[in-house]
Amino acid sequence: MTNQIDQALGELMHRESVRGAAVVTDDGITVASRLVGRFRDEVVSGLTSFLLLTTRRALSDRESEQRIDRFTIHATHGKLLIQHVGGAWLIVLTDQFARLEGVMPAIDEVGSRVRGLMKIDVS
Amino acid sequence: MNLIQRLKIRTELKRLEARVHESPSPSTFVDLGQVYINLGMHERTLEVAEDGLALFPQSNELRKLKSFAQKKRLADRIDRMRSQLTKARDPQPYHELANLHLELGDLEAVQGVCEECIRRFPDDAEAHLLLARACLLGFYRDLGAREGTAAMEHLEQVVTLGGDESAARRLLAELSWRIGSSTEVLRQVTELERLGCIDKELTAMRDTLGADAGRGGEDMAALFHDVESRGRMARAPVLRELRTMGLGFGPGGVAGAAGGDNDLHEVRATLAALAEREGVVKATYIRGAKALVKGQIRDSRDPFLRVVRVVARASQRAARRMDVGNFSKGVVDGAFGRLCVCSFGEALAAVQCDVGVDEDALLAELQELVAGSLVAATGRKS
Repeated sequence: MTNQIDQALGELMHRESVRGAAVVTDDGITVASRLVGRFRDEVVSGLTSFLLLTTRRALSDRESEQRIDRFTIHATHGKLLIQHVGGAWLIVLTDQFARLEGVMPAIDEVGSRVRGLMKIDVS
Repeated sequence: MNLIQRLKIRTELKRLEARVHESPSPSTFVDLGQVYINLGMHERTLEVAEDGLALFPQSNELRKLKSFAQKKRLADRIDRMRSQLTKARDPQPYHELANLHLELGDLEAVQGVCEECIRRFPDDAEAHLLLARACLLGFYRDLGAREGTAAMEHLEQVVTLGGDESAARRLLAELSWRIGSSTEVLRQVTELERLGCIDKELTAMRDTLGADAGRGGEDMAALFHDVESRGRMARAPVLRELRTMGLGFGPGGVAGAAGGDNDLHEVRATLAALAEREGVVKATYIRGAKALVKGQIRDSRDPFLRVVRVVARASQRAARRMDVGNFSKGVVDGAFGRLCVCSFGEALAAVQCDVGVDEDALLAELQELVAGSLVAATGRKS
């Protein structure tokens, strides 16, 4: 399963402006990662978990109102997109010039594949 | 904490202290301060922040660390004082505790302490004065009629109980002036003159109104409601104390942060236009502890304001640590709809809207709003 997720992330890496991609669990454990260069797995996954947890806590005390589907950050040297994919989060890092709407179809496609791969078939 | 944990922390501390000396930068000081925070050593955190600020006086992160350490130190003092309260035979410890909470900006805690004090010492005028100050802070920040009315009631109670009459009447005069009353301002100025507490600002206030002004009766509750519904004060502040306390939308408040009255007017107009867009539910402009709001926001306790602050702060921290630079804009989609945040320095603007609303257009407008307010503030300073 990890190999297939890794492969999906690899496809995303071919996209223009994409500088890294990873799949992490809610509690910040890396499932698969294609982070290179200055991005470190444990830093990105840990901070994503921190970001989501902090925002959820601020949103509400009730779990039903804490749902986050997507979190996008625009910063001076890059953009970060965090997308909910079932039991985990797909993280995509791009450079600051990326047009996210151009990359979104590919991210959505990889997201739905990862979502399928994260499910365990018990039938 | 067991021995292994202690050793780990000690090693980490040594490593960070060495980094601070070898390659000093705001982030190395902040990292070291963070470890001290985790250890509950707030005095040491403060020292680290001050050392860092000596080298990097412009660092916002170090300023935040210092302010956090100061707050924590105050919180420690509050905890110690809390335990003494039950044994207190006079209201003095309550006053000290309420003042500490006031310093921290925790208005609900001030209210709790003062109410407890009044229950035990019903004739304590000082508790009413502190409560009035807390309500005033809330009123000048949120323009809520309820808090304004409460402030006025507590100030009148101070006069009735024979407390610090001059302080209470001065605050009453200032409050009445801001909400647009004339009769009440003149009455308080006359009383302050009788007490020998008249100064040039009070005189200016009286002269502006004219001796014949405000002879008729005024409905104070209606004036407070007018302020709340219009979302702005009837008059700009004239008194020094309001300015120096940083209360209200005067030079020390949001207007001061965003510029003059005209700049504030522009910020408010842009916010109102944003809130009226289809699909937009709430809009806010935040500068420091103060916020301007438009749309479906009931009061300062609305979770939207908290979420906006948290998202901006957490995103800034995550962006810096992930090495993608400074956070400027963010979008969160979820069960609540869509939240768009734009941040620069301590100025923030944000909207909550439906998921279908064009986020790029909203982010561009928010960016204009924040940039415009900062340009105005910079222009005024220079």
